Amino acid sequence: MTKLSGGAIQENWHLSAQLDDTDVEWVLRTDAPSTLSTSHSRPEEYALLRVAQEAGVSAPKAVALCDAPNIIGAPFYLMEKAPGIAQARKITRDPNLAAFGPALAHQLGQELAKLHKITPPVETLAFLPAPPQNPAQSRIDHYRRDLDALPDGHPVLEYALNWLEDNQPNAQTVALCHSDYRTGNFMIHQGGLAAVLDWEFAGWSDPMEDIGWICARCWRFGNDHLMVGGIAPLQPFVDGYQSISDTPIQTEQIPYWQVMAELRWAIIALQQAQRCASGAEITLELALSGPLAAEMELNILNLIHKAQ
Amino acid sequence: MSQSRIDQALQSALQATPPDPQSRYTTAMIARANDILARSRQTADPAECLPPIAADPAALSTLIRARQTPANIAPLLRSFVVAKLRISNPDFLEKTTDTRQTP
Repeated sequence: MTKLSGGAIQENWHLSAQLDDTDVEWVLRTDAPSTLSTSHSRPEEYALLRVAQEAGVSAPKAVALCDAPNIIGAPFYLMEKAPGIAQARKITRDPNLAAFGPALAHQLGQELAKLHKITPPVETLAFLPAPPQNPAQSRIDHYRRDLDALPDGHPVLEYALNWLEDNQPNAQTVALCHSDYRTGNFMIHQGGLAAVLDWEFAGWSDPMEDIGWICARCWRFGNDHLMVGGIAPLQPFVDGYQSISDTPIQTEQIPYWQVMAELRWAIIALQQAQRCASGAEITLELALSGPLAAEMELNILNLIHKAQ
Repeated sequence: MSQSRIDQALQSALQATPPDPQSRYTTAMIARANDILARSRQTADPAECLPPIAADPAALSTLIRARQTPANIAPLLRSFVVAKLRISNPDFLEKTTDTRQTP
């Protein structure tokens, strides 16, 4: 049993076990010492995995759920370990990226389109907050509350929120969104997608939010010219999405949702830094998150400047 | 950013009225923000307007949340962010200068 890297909000442990003389490779997922209020509980995440799997999304196969807190100290679930690697910097620095990147982006588009076919209501997902009438405004209101809970002022993020409020897309729809669909949460095996990980933020929102998230510069890991997660340009991803979904991607809305994405990641980075500063969880990773917010702030100002 | 643009931004900011009193952004904060911006206006060098803002970003946040800043506040914000990145991540700043690389 070994602790896996990553997972600033949750902990993942690799289990190698024998079950009826069969070797199994599982991942045990449980809470980190300090979690974000916006992330789901393990039983809720387990339910999301099941729904995604039933829709044909390449989510890790859910094995078992234990919601009793007295077994290992917190609820947990087991899922099959998907092969491959998830580390974003390894994937985006792979010398063969140019060869497999476009096909991988096509696959990522297909997977996301399968997920976005799930629309409310879904009985087993009744724990999710009600589908928002206006997903963009809902996010704006949420992020303003998040900023209010932070100790310092963040003028660029306030400016971004005003811009997002004033420039909301006319047409918004609602579907099940992963809400953290980006490089780093994909298990990549031999250049292909093995599994979509980390369902802790999934919920009802505008599908364009997921697309803006994976297209945001903050998730390109230095491959700035490859819009889709630092993996490939946009077109193969769009082609993959449209091969599954009859709903066209509103490409003109992407800059709007990129601003939303940069804003969100900036706030999460500040929250993570605050978790460290508060003493709730002192790690170098969390401590280094705070200064990252300035990068997202500059991305926001550039995006808004281009859009005006 | 030219001094005239800063002046224009600050003049509008100085005409600020208090936002919703229920908000954490109180009248006192607005007054503090206006004071900081007024002190920024006294300098001839636009770059020197940054330290007072950096010392109390909550004050500028207050004005922006209250929508008491003009539309052209963006250059001032950019200077503020660039000043931060010069310290925390100059490599990122250099790469970002070429915005053609960031669709």
